[in-house]
Amino acid sequence: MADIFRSEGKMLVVLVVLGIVFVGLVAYLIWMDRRIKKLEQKP
Amino acid sequence: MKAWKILAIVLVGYSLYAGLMFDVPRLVILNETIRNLYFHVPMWFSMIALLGGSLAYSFRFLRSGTEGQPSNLDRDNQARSFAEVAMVFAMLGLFTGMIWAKATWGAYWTADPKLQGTAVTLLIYAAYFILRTSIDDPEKRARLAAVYNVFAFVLMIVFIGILPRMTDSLHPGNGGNPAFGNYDLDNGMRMVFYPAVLGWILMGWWIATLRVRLERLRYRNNH
Repeated sequence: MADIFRSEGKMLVVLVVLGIVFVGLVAYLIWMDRRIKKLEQKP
Repeated sequence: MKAWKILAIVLVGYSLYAGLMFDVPRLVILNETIRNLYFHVPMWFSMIALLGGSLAYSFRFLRSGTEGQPSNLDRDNQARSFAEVAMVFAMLGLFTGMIWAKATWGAYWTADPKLQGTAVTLLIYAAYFILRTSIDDPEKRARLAAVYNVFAFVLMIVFIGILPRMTDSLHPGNGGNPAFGNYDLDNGMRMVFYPAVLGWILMGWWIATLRVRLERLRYRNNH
Protein backbone atom coordinates (compact mmCIF):
# COMPACT_ATOMS: atom_id res chain seq x y z
CA MET A 1 0.00 0.00 0.00
CA ALA A 2 1.32 3.43 0.86
CA ASP A 3 4.86 2.19 1.46
CA ILE A 4 5.04 -0.09 -1.56
CA PHE A 5 3.58 2.66 -3.70
CA ARG A 6 6.60 4.84 -3.06
CA SER A 7 9.31 2.28 -2.38
CA GLU A 8 8.94 0.91 -5.90
CA GLY A 9 10.09 4.31 -6.97
CA LYS A 10 8.86 6.33 -9.93
CA MET A 11 6.20 7.93 -7.75
CA LEU A 12 7.99 11.17 -8.51
CA VAL A 13 7.21 10.67 -12.18
CA VAL A 14 3.50 10.80 -11.39
CA LEU A 15 4.04 13.88 -9.28
CA VAL A 16 5.92 15.62 -12.09
CA VAL A 17 3.24 14.73 -14.63
CA LEU A 18 0.53 16.08 -12.35
CA GLY A 19 2.70 19.11 -11.70
CA ILE A 20 3.00 19.87 -15.42
CA VAL A 21 -0.77 19.61 -15.86
CA PHE A 22 -1.36 21.85 -12.87
CA VAL A 23 1.21 24.47 -13.85
CA GLY A 24 -0.13 24.48 -17.40
CA LEU A 25 -3.71 25.03 -16.29
CA VAL A 26 -2.75 27.72 -13.81
CA ALA A 27 -0.62 29.50 -16.41
CA TYR A 28 -3.59 29.46 -18.79
CA LEU A 29 -5.87 30.88 -16.07
CA ILE A 30 -3.41 33.69 -15.34
CA TRP A 31 -3.02 34.42 -19.06
CA MET A 32 -6.79 34.60 -19.49
CA ASP A 33 -7.11 36.82 -16.42
CA ARG A 34 -4.56 39.26 -17.85
CA ARG A 35 -6.16 39.33 -21.29
CA ILE A 36 -9.58 40.05 -19.81
CA LYS A 37 -8.06 42.78 -17.66
CA LYS A 38 -6.51 44.38 -20.75
CA LEU A 39 -9.86 44.29 -22.55
CA GLU A 40 -11.58 45.81 -19.53
CA GLN A 41 -9.14 48.69 -19.47
CA LYS A 42 -9.83 49.56 -23.10
CA PRO A 43 -12.31 52.45 -23.18
CA MET B 1 -2.58 39.35 -9.11
CA LYS B 2 -4.89 39.31 -6.11
CA ALA B 3 -3.70 37.49 -2.99
CA TRP B 4 -6.59 35.04 -2.90
CA LYS B 5 -5.74 33.81 -6.38
CA ILE B 6 -2.17 33.13 -5.31
CA LEU B 7 -3.56 31.37 -2.22
CA ALA B 8 -5.70 29.18 -4.49
CA ILE B 9 -2.66 28.13 -6.52
CA VAL B 10 -0.54 27.50 -3.43
CA LEU B 11 -3.23 25.46 -1.64
CA VAL B 12 -4.13 23.28 -4.62
CA GLY B 13 -0.46 22.84 -5.50
CA TYR B 14 0.28 21.80 -1.93
CA SER B 15 -2.63 19.37 -1.90
CA LEU B 16 -1.41 17.72 -5.12
CA TYR B 17 2.01 17.16 -3.60
CA ALA B 18 0.88 16.25 -0.09
CA GLY B 19 -2.02 14.21 -1.41
CA LEU B 20 0.33 11.86 -3.22
CA MET B 21 3.35 11.87 -0.96
CA PHE B 22 2.08 12.06 2.62
CA ASP B 23 1.13 9.00 4.68
CA VAL B 24 -2.46 7.86 4.72
CA PRO B 25 -4.24 5.36 7.00
CA ARG B 26 -4.13 1.78 5.76
CA LEU B 27 -7.70 0.66 5.30
CA VAL B 28 -9.07 -2.46 3.64
CA ILE B 29 -10.73 -2.15 0.22
CA LEU B 30 -9.87 1.56 0.03
CA ASN B 31 -6.09 1.03 0.02
CA GLU B 32 -4.39 3.89 -1.82
CA THR B 33 -7.68 5.15 -3.22
CA ILE B 34 -8.27 6.90 0.09
CA ARG B 35 -6.16 9.66 -1.47
CA ASN B 36 -9.09 10.40 -3.76
CA LEU B 37 -10.62 12.16 -0.77
CA TYR B 38 -8.27 15.07 -1.51
CA PHE B 39 -9.34 15.35 -5.12
CA HIS B 40 -12.89 14.02 -5.46
CA VAL B 41 -14.55 15.60 -2.42
CA PRO B 42 -13.26 19.17 -3.01
CA MET B 43 -15.05 19.13 -6.38
CA TRP B 44 -18.38 18.84 -4.55
CA PHE B 45 -17.46 21.41 -1.92
CA SER B 46 -16.55 23.79 -4.75
CA MET B 47 -19.83 23.08 -6.50
CA ILE B 48 -21.80 23.86 -3.34
CA ALA B 49 -19.80 27.04 -2.69
CA LEU B 50 -20.32 28.26 -6.26
CA LEU B 51 -24.02 27.43 -6.18
CA GLY B 52 -24.21 29.33 -2.91
CA GLY B 53 -22.58 32.30 -4.64
CA SER B 54 -25.02 31.94 -7.51
CA LEU B 55 -27.93 31.92 -5.05
CA ALA B 56 -26.63 35.06 -3.33
CA TYR B 57 -26.39 36.87 -6.67
CA SER B 58 -29.92 35.76 -7.54
CA PHE B 59 -31.18 37.28 -4.27
CA ARG B 60 -29.26 40.45 -4.97
CA PHE B 61 -30.74 40.62 -8.46
CA LEU B 62 -34.27 40.27 -7.08
CA ARG B 63 -33.62 42.97 -4.50
CA SER B 64 -32.05 45.33 -7.06
CA GLY B 65 -35.38 45.84 -8.83
CA THR B 66 -37.27 47.12 -5.81
CA GLU B 67 -37.99 50.66 -4.57
CA GLY B 68 -38.22 52.19 -8.01
CA GLN B 69 -34.63 51.23 -8.89
CA PRO B 70 -33.87 49.58 -12.23
CA SER B 71 -32.97 45.92 -11.76
CA ASN B 72 -29.32 45.10 -12.12
CA LEU B 73 -28.84 42.61 -14.95
CA ASP B 74 -25.18 42.19 -14.05
CA ARG B 75 -26.31 40.33 -10.92
CA ASP B 76 -28.09 37.92 -13.25
CA ASN B 77 -24.90 37.50 -15.25
CA GLN B 78 -23.06 36.66 -12.02
CA ALA B 79 -25.71 34.18 -10.90
CA ARG B 80 -25.63 32.39 -14.24
CA SER B 81 -21.85 32.31 -14.57
CA PHE B 82 -21.41 30.90 -11.07
CA ALA B 83 -24.03 28.19 -11.70
CA GLU B 84 -22.28 27.34 -14.95
CA VAL B 85 -18.86 26.83 -13.37
CA ALA B 86 -20.54 24.93 -10.50
CA MET B 87 -21.87 22.45 -13.05
CA VAL B 88 -18.36 21.92 -14.43
CA PHE B 89 -17.23 21.02 -10.92
CA ALA B 90 -20.28 18.77 -10.51
CA MET B 91 -19.28 16.87 -13.64
CA LEU B 92 -15.72 16.51 -12.37
CA GLY B 93 -17.08 15.29 -9.03
CA LEU B 94 -19.38 12.84 -10.73
CA PHE B 95 -16.78 11.32 -13.03
CA THR B 96 -14.09 11.08 -10.35
CA GLY B 97 -16.69 9.50 -8.06
CA MET B 98 -17.60 6.93 -10.69
CA ILE B 99 -13.98 5.86 -11.08
CA TRP B 100 -13.64 5.57 -7.32
CA ALA B 101 -16.90 3.64 -7.03
CA LYS B 102 -15.74 1.15 -9.67
CA ALA B 103 -12.60 0.47 -7.67
CA THR B 104 -14.24 0.13 -4.27
CA TRP B 105 -17.89 -0.81 -4.80
CA GLY B 106 -17.41 -2.72 -8.05
CA ALA B 107 -19.66 -0.60 -10.25
CA TYR B 108 -19.51 2.82 -11.85
CA TRP B 109 -23.06 3.56 -10.84
CA THR B 110 -25.36 2.10 -8.23
CA ALA B 111 -28.91 2.97 -7.27
CA ASP B 112 -27.53 4.62 -4.16
CA PRO B 113 -29.51 7.56 -2.74
CA LYS B 114 -26.42 9.80 -2.81
CA LEU B 115 -25.76 9.07 -6.47
CA GLN B 116 -29.37 9.29 -7.55
CA GLY B 117 -29.74 12.52 -5.59
CA THR B 118 -26.76 13.95 -7.41
CA ALA B 119 -28.20 12.96 -10.76
CA VAL B 120 -31.48 14.67 -9.88
CA THR B 121 -29.57 17.79 -8.80
CA LEU B 122 -27.79 17.94 -12.14
CA LEU B 123 -31.12 17.67 -13.95
CA ILE B 124 -32.59 20.44 -11.79
CA TYR B 125 -29.75 22.76 -12.78
CA ALA B 126 -29.94 21.64 -16.40
CA ALA B 127 -33.53 22.88 -16.25
CA TYR B 128 -32.23 26.22 -14.94
CA PHE B 129 -30.19 26.73 -18.12
CA ILE B 130 -33.00 25.50 -20.36
CA LEU B 131 -35.41 27.87 -18.65
CA ARG B 132 -33.01 30.71 -19.38
CA THR B 133 -32.73 29.97 -23.07
CA SER B 134 -36.52 29.75 -23.43
CA ILE B 135 -37.17 33.39 -22.49
CA ASP B 136 -36.14 36.22 -24.83
CA ASP B 137 -36.77 39.27 -22.68
CA PRO B 138 -33.60 39.71 -20.56
CA GLU B 139 -35.46 41.30 -17.66
CA LYS B 140 -38.10 38.60 -17.44
CA ARG B 141 -35.52 35.88 -18.00
CA ALA B 142 -33.39 37.17 -15.16
CA ARG B 143 -36.34 37.42 -12.79
CA LEU B 144 -37.72 33.94 -13.48
CA ALA B 145 -34.25 32.38 -13.44
CA ALA B 146 -33.48 34.01 -10.09
CA VAL B 147 -36.65 32.67 -8.51
CA TYR B 148 -36.01 29.22 -9.97
CA ASN B 149 -32.42 29.34 -8.70
CA VAL B 150 -33.67 29.70 -5.12
CA PHE B 151 -35.87 26.66 -5.62
CA ALA B 152 -33.01 24.70 -7.26
CA PHE B 153 -30.59 25.42 -4.42
CA VAL B 154 -33.02 24.21 -1.78
CA LEU B 155 -33.64 21.00 -3.74
CA MET B 156 -29.90 20.51 -4.16
CA ILE B 157 -29.46 20.60 -0.36
CA VAL B 158 -32.38 18.21 0.10
CA PHE B 159 -31.18 15.75 -2.54
CA ILE B 160 -27.49 15.59 -1.76
CA GLY B 161 -27.38 16.77 1.84
CA ILE B 162 -30.48 15.50 3.58
CA LEU B 163 -32.17 12.55 1.86
CA PRO B 164 -29.03 10.37 1.55
CA ARG B 165 -28.47 10.78 5.27
CA MET B 166 -31.96 9.54 6.11
CA THR B 167 -31.71 6.20 4.34
CA ASP B 168 -29.18 3.48 3.77
CA SER B 169 -26.29 4.55 1.59
CA LEU B 170 -22.95 3.15 0.52
CA HIS B 171 -21.50 6.62 0.22
CA PRO B 172 -19.36 7.73 3.19
CA GLY B 173 -21.06 10.26 5.42
CA ASN B 174 -24.51 8.89 4.66
CA GLY B 175 -26.81 6.23 6.03
CA GLY B 176 -24.68 5.69 9.12
CA ASN B 177 -21.49 5.39 7.10
CA PRO B 178 -18.70 7.46 8.62
CA ALA B 179 -16.88 10.10 6.58
CA PHE B 180 -15.35 12.84 8.65
CA GLY B 181 -15.57 10.82 11.84
CA ASN B 182 -12.67 10.91 14.27
CA TYR B 183 -11.37 7.48 13.38
CA ASP B 184 -11.24 7.47 9.62
CA LEU B 185 -10.09 10.98 8.82
CA ASP B 186 -6.95 11.21 10.94
CA ASN B 187 -5.17 14.45 11.69
CA GLY B 188 -2.61 13.92 8.96
CA MET B 189 -5.36 13.74 6.38
CA ARG B 190 -7.08 16.83 7.71
CA MET B 191 -3.90 18.80 7.05
CA VAL B 192 -4.22 17.98 3.38
CA PHE B 193 -8.00 17.75 3.00
CA TYR B 194 -8.99 21.16 4.36
CA PRO B 195 -6.38 23.12 2.35
CA ALA B 196 -7.47 21.17 -0.74
CA VAL B 197 -11.13 22.11 -0.17
CA LEU B 198 -10.35 25.78 0.38
CA GLY B 199 -7.92 25.85 -2.56
CA TRP B 200 -10.39 24.31 -4.99
CA ILE B 201 -13.22 26.59 -3.85
CA LEU B 202 -11.01 29.62 -4.52
CA MET B 203 -9.96 28.13 -7.86
CA GLY B 204 -13.60 27.70 -8.86
CA TRP B 205 -14.39 31.20 -7.69
CA TRP B 206 -11.59 32.53 -9.84
CA ILE B 207 -12.83 30.72 -12.96
CA ALA B 208 -16.37 31.95 -12.28
CA THR B 209 -15.26 35.57 -11.98
CA LEU B 210 -13.41 35.24 -15.29
CA ARG B 211 -16.64 33.98 -16.83
CA VAL B 212 -18.50 36.95 -15.34
CA ARG B 213 -15.98 39.46 -16.66
CA LEU B 214 -16.01 37.92 -20.12
CA GLU B 215 -19.79 38.21 -20.23
CA ARG B 216 -19.59 41.87 -19.16
CA LEU B 217 -17.20 42.56 -22.03
CA ARG B 218 -19.53 40.82 -24.44
CA TYR B 219 -22.46 42.87 -23.12
CA ARG B 220 -20.47 46.09 -23.42
CA ASN B 221 -19.55 45.20 -26.99
CA ASN B 222 -23.16 44.66 -27.99
CA HIS B 223 -24.54 47.86 -26.45
